[in-house]
Amino acid sequence: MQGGTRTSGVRWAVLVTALGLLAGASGCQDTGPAAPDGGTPGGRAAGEDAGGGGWPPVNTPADTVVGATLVADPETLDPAWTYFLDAEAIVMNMYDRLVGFEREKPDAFVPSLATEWTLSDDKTVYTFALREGVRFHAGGTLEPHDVAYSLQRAMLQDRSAGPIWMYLKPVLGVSSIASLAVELADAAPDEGEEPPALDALPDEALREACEAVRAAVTAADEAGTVTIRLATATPWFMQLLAMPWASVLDREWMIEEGDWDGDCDGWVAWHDPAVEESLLFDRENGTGPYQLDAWKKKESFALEAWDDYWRTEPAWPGGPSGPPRLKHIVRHQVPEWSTRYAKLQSGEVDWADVPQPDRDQLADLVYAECDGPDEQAACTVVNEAGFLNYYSGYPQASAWALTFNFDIAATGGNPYIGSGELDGEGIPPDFFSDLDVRRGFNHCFDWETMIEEVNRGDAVQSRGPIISGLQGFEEDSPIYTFDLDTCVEELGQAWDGRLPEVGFELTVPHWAGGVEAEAVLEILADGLARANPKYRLETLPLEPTAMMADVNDRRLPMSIAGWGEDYHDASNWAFTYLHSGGAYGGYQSFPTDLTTRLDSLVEEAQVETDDAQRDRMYAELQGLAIDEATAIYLSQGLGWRYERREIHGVYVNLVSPWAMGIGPDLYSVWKEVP
Amino acid sequence: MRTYIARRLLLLPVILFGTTLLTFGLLAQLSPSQRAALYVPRLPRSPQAVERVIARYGLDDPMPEQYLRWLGQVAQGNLGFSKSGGEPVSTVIRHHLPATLELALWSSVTIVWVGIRLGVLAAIHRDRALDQLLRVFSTIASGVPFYLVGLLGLLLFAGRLQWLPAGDRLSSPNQLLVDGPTWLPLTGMYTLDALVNRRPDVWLDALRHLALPVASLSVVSWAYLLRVTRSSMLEALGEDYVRTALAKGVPARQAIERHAWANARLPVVTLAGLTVLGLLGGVAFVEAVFNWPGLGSRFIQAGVSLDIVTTMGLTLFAATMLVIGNLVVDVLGAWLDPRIRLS
Repeated sequence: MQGGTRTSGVRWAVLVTALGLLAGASGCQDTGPAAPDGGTPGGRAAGEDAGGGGWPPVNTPADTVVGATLVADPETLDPAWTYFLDAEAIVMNMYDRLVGFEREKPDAFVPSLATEWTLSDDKTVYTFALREGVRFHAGGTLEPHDVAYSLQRAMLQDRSAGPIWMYLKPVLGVSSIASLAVELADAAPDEGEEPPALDALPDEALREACEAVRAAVTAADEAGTVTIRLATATPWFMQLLAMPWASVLDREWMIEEGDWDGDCDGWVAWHDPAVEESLLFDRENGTGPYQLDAWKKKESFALEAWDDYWRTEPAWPGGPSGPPRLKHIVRHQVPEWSTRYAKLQSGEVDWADVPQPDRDQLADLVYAECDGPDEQAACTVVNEAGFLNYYSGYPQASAWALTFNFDIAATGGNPYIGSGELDGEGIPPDFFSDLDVRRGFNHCFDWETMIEEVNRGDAVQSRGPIISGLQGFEEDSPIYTFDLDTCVEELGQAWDGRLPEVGFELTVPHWAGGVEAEAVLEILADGLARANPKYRLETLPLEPTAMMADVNDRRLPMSIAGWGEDYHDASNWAFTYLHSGGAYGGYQSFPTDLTTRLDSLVEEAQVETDDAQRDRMYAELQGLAIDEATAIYLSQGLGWRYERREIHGVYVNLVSPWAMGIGPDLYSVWKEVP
Repeated sequence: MRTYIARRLLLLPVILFGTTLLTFGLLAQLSPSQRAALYVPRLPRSPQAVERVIARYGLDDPMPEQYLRWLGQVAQGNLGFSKSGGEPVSTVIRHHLPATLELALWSSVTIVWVGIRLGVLAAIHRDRALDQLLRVFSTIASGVPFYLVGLLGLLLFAGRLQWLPAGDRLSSPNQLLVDGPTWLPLTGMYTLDALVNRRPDVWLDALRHLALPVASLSVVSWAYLLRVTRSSMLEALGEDYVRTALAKGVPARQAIERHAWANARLPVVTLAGLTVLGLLGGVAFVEAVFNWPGLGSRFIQAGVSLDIVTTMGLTLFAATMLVIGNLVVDVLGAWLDPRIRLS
């Protein structure tokens, strides 16, 4: 017996030694992991740089920023397709545009691919002189026809509920290329009818629509210029040219790879593609400071520095030039907050998605609290041992709402609406077409609790789709308040007074891991249940891609609709939430009379040049949205974020903010240990 | 032995047939239009267009006909398109299986090797301090779910003490390396591929990332294995042939290993086999906690996405693996104990 024990003891010693080696190996991690090229370590330990003076562990290389996010996959890499903040930020880094923003200013511009530009007296003709010697990542050389091709392609591609309406309206005076073709074919549908499909229109009309696009954006290769002619003067047009959708592609490369050939015959084949059908869905060939390194779907996304980047002079005083300082930008998909938290705590990531309600958990890790968006803000050191800087309280042009779907798609069955009948086990597809239901839901929502619990006090209740600081926003405009009695009353009138007796049940999905959205839905569910226990709203965590597919198919009864503005003007908000072509309004299936009313008012306000009149029109839209209760307009929040102390150079531009660990200007960012 | 294996192998297709029938039976519960929604990324809204989809995929045909057609597709490796994965289900399996396999392999080795050793130790130290300690451990560990062990391990060893990484398979630079063009991805299991690519640093990094997930899976399994091994060994150690061996002067180690263990191992091996197969369930939770990009986390993601095609495909795959795994355990049992194959 004794011998057996001794032998086991030896084996145990081996096991313990092995475990010790493993654990010990973790102690070696502060030398930094090996570089991707397999050579020298990618970065020095921050602790070493600081002379071992207690700098918290940094386990990412000095030339790499690693993030842990709820979702790593961008929606797409096609600049003209994406309408999602994080994908837009990625595109901004891989491609360049004619002009760029002057750092954080949304209305000041610096040369980018254009060296200079002029605007005609009537403010409708822009002429840009193009920079020479710029190369695309795949080797092509930038020429004026590339710029013209890129903008023309975007306008012809014009995917449904996408971003290109913003360009079509000022350039051609229409909200979609399809509507222009229908107009040219004189095939406008009767009221209440669907417009004809594009491929059912005569070739001549299609060709004319395409020619209109080509005439609006022209290139003079020899002169090295590009000219854009607008249908109406648009004060924010330069903002649009600095945004990702105006990114410049290599015409020759695109045609070679099978995209639109630049010809007006057959362009419809490239119109409104499904997201994966676009050539640029998971490929890129831009001129920007970063190129696509690796994209492992559902796992990680990585950018790599483009060392041949063209910029030799800073775009603004103190701005960057030369090759990018950060060589790799990596973000991992880590759906679990506890795992993201542990990664942040251990220095494995420089950045992590922090759910708003869990912000308190990071209190011990904070080094300094800064009252503003960047390093220029006033900062107070709160914990010498902390390693995060907490920036907060800065304005941001974003808000969110809980939209109603007036005509829920139910073909093939829809698990979100249960029985699909008003029998207490579900809701009918047109449940939200009843105004009393929508108003009742609004009165059952407790904004105060949401702002306190979800926004941690850093937000104000939205007064409609238009945010503060823009035309149409009035501090004292009517809004809904949490009032259970009114909720009971409104819902009691709905559906011929049948609701209180029968009740209803619906399921509203939210992004899995999106605790803010879940909390908002729980607040609404609680309010409804308190109004009547037979009013049941269930929440369902759904994987983002699957959820987006159901949003696109109009299968969701309600959806969480967050928005960061594309350009700083009320028209952006009104179109997005209220127009039938908007990113959210387009999926709400408003009834025809309401659609007509909203669409015409949105479009008229867009082209109105008289400021006072515009203000009135947007105020009317704001009021209409509340009166018709098109959504539960939740809140407009103040900006906040956590960042490791080593990260420098981040700034916040209102119309082009950071999203999911990727900023629109990573070129300005670097890491440095004090 | 050969006859026994042949008999078991002959049963395999029958069991697999049953498995496919059950899986397809679940799908058959949906109406044709509901199934149509699974076949096309965007189901048209008009009933006529839905009818066209139903007709195109034969979703209104008699069930046996649909089953055979589906079986034919499955046999060709076509398990449908994964909405939540954005790629065919077979590709999802190909991409994510190596991660799960690597985790399962390392966990199996750890569970079996350490679990049995602990059980033997407890038995030969019966009623002494070590035995008592292990029994307390076993009682506590058997009541704790996998994910809780994982979360505690994550917060303590990764977050607080920072001894081990908090999830993922490799650190970011190494992940970029293995995803890059210079890396030879032979098996997709980094601990093996690192050896082939002669990168001990990557091997160590992969091992460090495995430590916490493997430990999380092992702790609970050890509890069960320890108990069964202990009681089997105690029973064997009390048998006459062990006492006789010791009385004849056979060294204690030899008496334990050759005589007691040889007879105690059958229930242990059976349980070990079942425990390893049972990992498929636990792996899903551990993968979710440690952000391990394996089939388990895909399964969870498909579930929360109401992605029936992926859920079905992965269920079928897991069921097939289980059936084959059970066969291996049976054959192993028969090889260890001739009484099984003779009966």
